[in-house]
Amino acid sequence: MSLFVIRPGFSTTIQASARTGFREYGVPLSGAMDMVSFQLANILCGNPPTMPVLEMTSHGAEFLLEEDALFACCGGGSQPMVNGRPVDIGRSVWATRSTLLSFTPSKQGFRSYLAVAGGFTSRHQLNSCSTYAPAALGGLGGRVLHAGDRVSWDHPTEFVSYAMIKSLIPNVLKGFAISSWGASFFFQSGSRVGGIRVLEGPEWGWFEQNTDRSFLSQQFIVSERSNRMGYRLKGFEIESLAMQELISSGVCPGTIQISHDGMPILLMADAQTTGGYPRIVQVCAADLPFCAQLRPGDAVGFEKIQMAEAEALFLQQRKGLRRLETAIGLRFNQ
Amino acid sequence: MQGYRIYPLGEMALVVDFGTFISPETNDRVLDLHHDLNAYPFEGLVESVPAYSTLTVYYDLDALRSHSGKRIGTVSKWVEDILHVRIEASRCQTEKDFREVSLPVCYDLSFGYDLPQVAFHSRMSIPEVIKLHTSFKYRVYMIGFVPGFPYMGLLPPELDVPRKATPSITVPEGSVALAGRQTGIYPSNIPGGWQIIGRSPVKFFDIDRDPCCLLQPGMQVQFHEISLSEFENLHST
Repeated sequence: MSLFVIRPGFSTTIQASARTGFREYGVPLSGAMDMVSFQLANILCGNPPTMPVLEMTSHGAEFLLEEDALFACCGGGSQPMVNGRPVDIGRSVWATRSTLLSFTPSKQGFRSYLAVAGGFTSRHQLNSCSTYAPAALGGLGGRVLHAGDRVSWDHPTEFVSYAMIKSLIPNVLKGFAISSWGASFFFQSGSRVGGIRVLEGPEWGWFEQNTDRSFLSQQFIVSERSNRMGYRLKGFEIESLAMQELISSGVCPGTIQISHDGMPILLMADAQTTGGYPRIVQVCAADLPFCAQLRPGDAVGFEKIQMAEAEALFLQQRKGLRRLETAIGLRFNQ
Repeated sequence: MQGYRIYPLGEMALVVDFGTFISPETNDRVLDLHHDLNAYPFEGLVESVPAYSTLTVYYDLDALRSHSGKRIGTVSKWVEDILHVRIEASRCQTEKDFREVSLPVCYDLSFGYDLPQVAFHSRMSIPEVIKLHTSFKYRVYMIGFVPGFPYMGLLPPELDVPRKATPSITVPEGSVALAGRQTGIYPSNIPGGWQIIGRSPVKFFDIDRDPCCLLQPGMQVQFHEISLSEFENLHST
């Protein structure tokens, strides 16, 4: 079963969970940038939460379903249209073969996740299905989607998927049916009021803190020079207290480095595994999904918290996803 | 036990920092702990990533959630305590990969297009640069920057050259490079700022090979010069 790519959109890749186990060889984590929307989309198809999905950056993608499918779209990067009609994100949708899916502009976020019941077929390499284009790993040929590609999936294996389909089929009108259930308010994409929460980085003490140009005092603008490897943030130069060189050391998604020109670089999913720039802060794991939804031109500020709170926020988020999965399972179980 | 520090890199990683020096002894301590964790992983360990003088230890916060709470403390502290014990116990003195590897490199000017610049900077002739580069065994300190890129050193001080002011848009795969007192190899066609002095026909990063990375931290590497025709032969196999 497959969909045909009429237009791939700005940048679309197959993503799943992170590629762990090879960072000592310089292989980045990759995986879905917004881990919450990614899992949500899967849960809404009755899938295990980490099946491969299409991660669409910005808008513009257009797909033709070549088979009936149960799918879901989460994340605020685009407005899904099914046969020309707008459909809320965070819903399960059953659509018949020859349905046209298009993704039009939305200001709510920057990335969208399309999951299909059964999960998209993806090349599994080095412990993950996620695409890492610079080394041509995973996904569909290790690259972004092109017009003319076919992305396939197998029959769903989960009972919940079939129960959802059964429940939606009677409501099909003009080729598709939208669920009454949904997860639209679980996770608010877009900029966070009060600033993105961060923890002190290893080189926090290298930088001025109490000036109006210090890192926490500023509102930065996300520059156009931003992608899955990282975002460049524009603002006033962050001054370091002393001239020090950092010997290359580990970095990970969420690490914010200060480069030679005093500007912050927020590392994201495809970031390299080691770096030589000082690490001023680390974005809290619970707020990385917000970062994934930042649009070039967005303003962003930061707020420092402590480890206990950061851990609690992340664990709460995980718990919330598990609860939703359980609730959906219970609703559709006999 | 000699000095070291442990500090967090976010909620899912701790950095074990053995100092701010690039030396074989410091790197040995990093690799000892790395191999110990590989051989005897603790519950929730995801992986550890060695660098020159630090080991970044990644763990699964969600899997370890029972080790946090108002009275218990943070998971971060729980993992840090485990690492202190491991370092003090310092079990793993063996198992390190000290294999010696001899890598073929063609220093023809078509491959080593920055050789004239390096020679000029070092006030040597090109053959002298090549002789120096091939005379010593270099330790692989770490792999980073891109999959399979080895950081090797330390080169003799005469070969301490700066990075290029303007990086190349594409450095060809297999290019052997210099920067600071380090030598590295570009495992794929990517942008890069190191000085390119030659090319090796060997495949340094291959996902169909196990392990995917030819060079491992701790290995001793020596380069040997090959001709253009030898390069062509080796490259096609």
